[in-house]
Amino acid sequence: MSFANMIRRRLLFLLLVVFGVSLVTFVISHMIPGNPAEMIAGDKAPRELVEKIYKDMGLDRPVLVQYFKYISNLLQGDLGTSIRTQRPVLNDILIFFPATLELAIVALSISIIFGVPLGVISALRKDKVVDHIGHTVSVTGISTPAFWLGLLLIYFFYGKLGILPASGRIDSSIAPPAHVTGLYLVDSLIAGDWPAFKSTVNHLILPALTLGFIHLGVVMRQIRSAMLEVLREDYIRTARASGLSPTRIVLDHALRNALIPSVTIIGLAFGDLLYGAVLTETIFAWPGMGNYVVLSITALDFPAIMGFTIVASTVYVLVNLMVDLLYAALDPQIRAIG
Amino acid sequence: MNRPVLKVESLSLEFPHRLGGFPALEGVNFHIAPGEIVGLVGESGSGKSVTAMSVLRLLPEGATHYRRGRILVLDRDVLTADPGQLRRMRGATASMIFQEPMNALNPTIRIGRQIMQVIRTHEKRVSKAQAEVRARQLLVEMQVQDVDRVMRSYPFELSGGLRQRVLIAMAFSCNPSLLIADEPTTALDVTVQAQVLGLLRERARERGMSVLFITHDLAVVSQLCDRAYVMYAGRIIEQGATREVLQKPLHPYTRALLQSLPEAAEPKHYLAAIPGTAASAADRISGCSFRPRCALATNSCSQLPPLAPSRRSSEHEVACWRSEDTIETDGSVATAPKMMAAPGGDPHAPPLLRLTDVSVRFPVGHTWLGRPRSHVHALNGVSLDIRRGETLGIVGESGCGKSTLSQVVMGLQPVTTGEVMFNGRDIFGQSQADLKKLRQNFQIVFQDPQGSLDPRMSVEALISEPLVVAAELSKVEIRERVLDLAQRVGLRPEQLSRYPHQFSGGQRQRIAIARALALQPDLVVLDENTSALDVSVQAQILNLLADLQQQMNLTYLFISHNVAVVRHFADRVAVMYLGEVVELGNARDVLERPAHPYTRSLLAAVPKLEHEAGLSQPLRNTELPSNRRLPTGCFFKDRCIHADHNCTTRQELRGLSDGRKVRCVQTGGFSLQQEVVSA
Repeated sequence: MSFANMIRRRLLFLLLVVFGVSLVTFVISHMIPGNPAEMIAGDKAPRELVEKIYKDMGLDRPVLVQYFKYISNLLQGDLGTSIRTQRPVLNDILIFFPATLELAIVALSISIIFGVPLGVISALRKDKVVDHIGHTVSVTGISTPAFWLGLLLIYFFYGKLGILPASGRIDSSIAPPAHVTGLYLVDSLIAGDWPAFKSTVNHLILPALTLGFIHLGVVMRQIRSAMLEVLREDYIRTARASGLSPTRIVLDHALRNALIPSVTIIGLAFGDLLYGAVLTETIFAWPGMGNYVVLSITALDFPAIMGFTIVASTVYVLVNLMVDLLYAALDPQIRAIG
Repeated sequence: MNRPVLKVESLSLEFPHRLGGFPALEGVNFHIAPGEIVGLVGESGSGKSVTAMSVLRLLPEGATHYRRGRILVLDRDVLTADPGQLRRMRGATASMIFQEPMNALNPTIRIGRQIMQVIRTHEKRVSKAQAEVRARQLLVEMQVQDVDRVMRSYPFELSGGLRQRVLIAMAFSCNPSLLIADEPTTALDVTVQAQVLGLLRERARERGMSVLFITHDLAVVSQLCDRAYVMYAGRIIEQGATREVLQKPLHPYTRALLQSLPEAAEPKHYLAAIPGTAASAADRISGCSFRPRCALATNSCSQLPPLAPSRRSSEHEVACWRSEDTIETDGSVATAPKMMAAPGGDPHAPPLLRLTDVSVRFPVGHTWLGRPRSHVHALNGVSLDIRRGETLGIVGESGCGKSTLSQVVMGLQPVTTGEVMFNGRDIFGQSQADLKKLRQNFQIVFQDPQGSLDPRMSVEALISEPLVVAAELSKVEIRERVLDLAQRVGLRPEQLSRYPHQFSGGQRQRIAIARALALQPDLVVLDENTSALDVSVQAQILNLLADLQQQMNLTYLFISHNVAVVRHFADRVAVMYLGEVVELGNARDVLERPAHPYTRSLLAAVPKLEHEAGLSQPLRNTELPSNRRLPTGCFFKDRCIHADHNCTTRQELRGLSDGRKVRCVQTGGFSLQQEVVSA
């Protein structure tokens, strides 16, 4: 199957997912006790005000009508208005999501850039000192709680050494770059704003290291075991018997095949980074989705929660699509069967 | 004499282990002259593959200890070469091809690039374009039909035979002086094997290349090699011109090995099996390592016999104290073969199992609406009777549907159309509970007992499991039955508490047979169940199966790609091609005087022990047609050398005068008296 075909089919699937998710979240939000109108009006608001808000929000109309309204708004890109911030949910998400995305991408890059070579080296030096050190690093990474590691890093690099900032995305004295993608690294480069870029990098280092280290262990172990398996394959023996150099055998013949099963793990790690970083975001006061969602939940801010859920599932499907495309790029057999 | 291309001198090798190390080779000496094709023959554990791998030092470096000896490739010692020198030798001075073409090419790199990579590794000045031209030339030389497509293909897009050609092309790409071929055709079908072996020999001869050919198959050696070395338990025990070694073997092991081949015995007669299992050097048998299995062993055999020229010829060497004494008096070691049993199966009685027009197809892929994109047509209208008490052999190459057929007979694979009647009851018309009950009457033994026996269950648990599931006997009765079964298949009672991994391949096959017989079935499907065994052990198992058939009144459906085994063991045979039975009849008639052109090509491709027989390439087109899009008319017509306008319609199975049935309109024209054509 061609790439185009695969993408087309997945996008169709994405529509179904979004529809399903919207239905589920809508039903749940209407089943949970608690009156959003009361939340908006406040504790001491008069009865009439609550009822007026209730009517304004359309909550008195039949559920089906409400759902239909919601869906038709959704199709026009309107996710509703947040009860808590009183801003359109879409605007909120456009502000907070890029922060999380940027952090996730940098963290994942760290775990791949360090995890893949470490995994390869551990496999080549199986049961040697390097392998044992690698094993210790990966177990430490997997078993260390993110918040603890985050606090530790803050203690040293901010508290003791004072060389790196501990909170936020950018120095408060520097204006954020003009909004293009929402990713400060990219936006500051587009704007040619060097101080903003430097400050963004400085702010990213500690939270990205925290998250990256946790996933580094997973990536490394996956690559190590995949490499060990591949190195036993007959075609590696053929390559050795043909006199190819060890570098070529490892990088061209073995790693290419070892990456195929690892792509899944990396995809899962990315999903995890996008929505599992609440604690890390809190510690580093990172203005990302994690914080936003927690606040929305405590405020029973249904439009925000639903908007977030839909965006989250969309991104998740897109990440999976990327994983599959990567698969197909790496493995010609998958390209053929689709 | 020319200086040898390869000279191995008293090579001893072991695999180190905490508990002391496992020896694999003990003082191996051999040489290969320029342009010579030399066979290295042996059963599992003989050390033949270890020898082959050590020539290019491909065994895992950390886990191999070369104790003694030298390996000289063009006078350069491989064992003292540094890694750089070694790399320059591999692929350029000596190259190697392996058994499994399916896995020997990198699945993610295009064929063209893989070949070009080897060329450019060794010849740095060759440009990409030049390398590509050479890669194409090599493929043309290997008679690859569609070079453009193959160059661009990934390995999974090519058949096994084509992949092996690519690997040979790769091995030839830098014109090495020596090619080491480790069982290169063992995983291929016989017709493909004939083609690949023919090519290999021709191209090696043209280039004056020496070949070290490792195999367990004596017939292949006889057709391919100038000289042969026989290995047993890490030592070379006999050496000489192929014809000498195979026609006038001196070592009792070589003689016994040749006699245990089904080709060596009359059909339906007991095979001269060698007792026990093949030893390896790790068994550390003192003196002659064949002693424990040898009928001729005496006290003198506790001394290690040297490999020495025989009285008959200085070129024919043997390592045995006794061979000279016995060869003159008694040509054969084994006793005269006995008849296994009277041919079973009454043609007039109602059949035990009747397949009527059975077709099976599997959906492949799916469109986005979930409909299958195409179908694999595994079986296309198979009608067969299995008569009570007979052995019906099924012969065919991969993709012919024989495995699907076994699944259908076992009631495991529902048919798409058609009917399967067991003892007059439709298998697929039963309720689940009734089918479960009915299944007790048919059992299956698979090829690989390692994979089909649960490694965590003891032998007793494995054999008794069917009885426990059937829940008809008390614990005491089950125990009795298990002991009885174990004794019948030749297992000792104390072995019952052990686990599968503690047994050899042949013994595991015995366990699998005992398990299959636990419920006293009528029909046993034997699906390639001796294919993974050494020939000496295969003979034991075939003898055992014959005895059990007689004792327990069994009917066998014997599925095999090995024509010689089927000819020996089966009463009747069905030859299958692309999901059809193309010829059906008495095993001897069909496999000695084949009528269908496909059966003829199949038999012509089977390597024969007679050195003169030569290799034949009996098929017109090299690739099997796809079973996704079946050919129109006769399925075989595109590969058939006799095809004409009569073959464009679908062929029916027609009866011939001697009672066999053939699916070919042409057969009337062939003389049935004509023996197997060997080109």
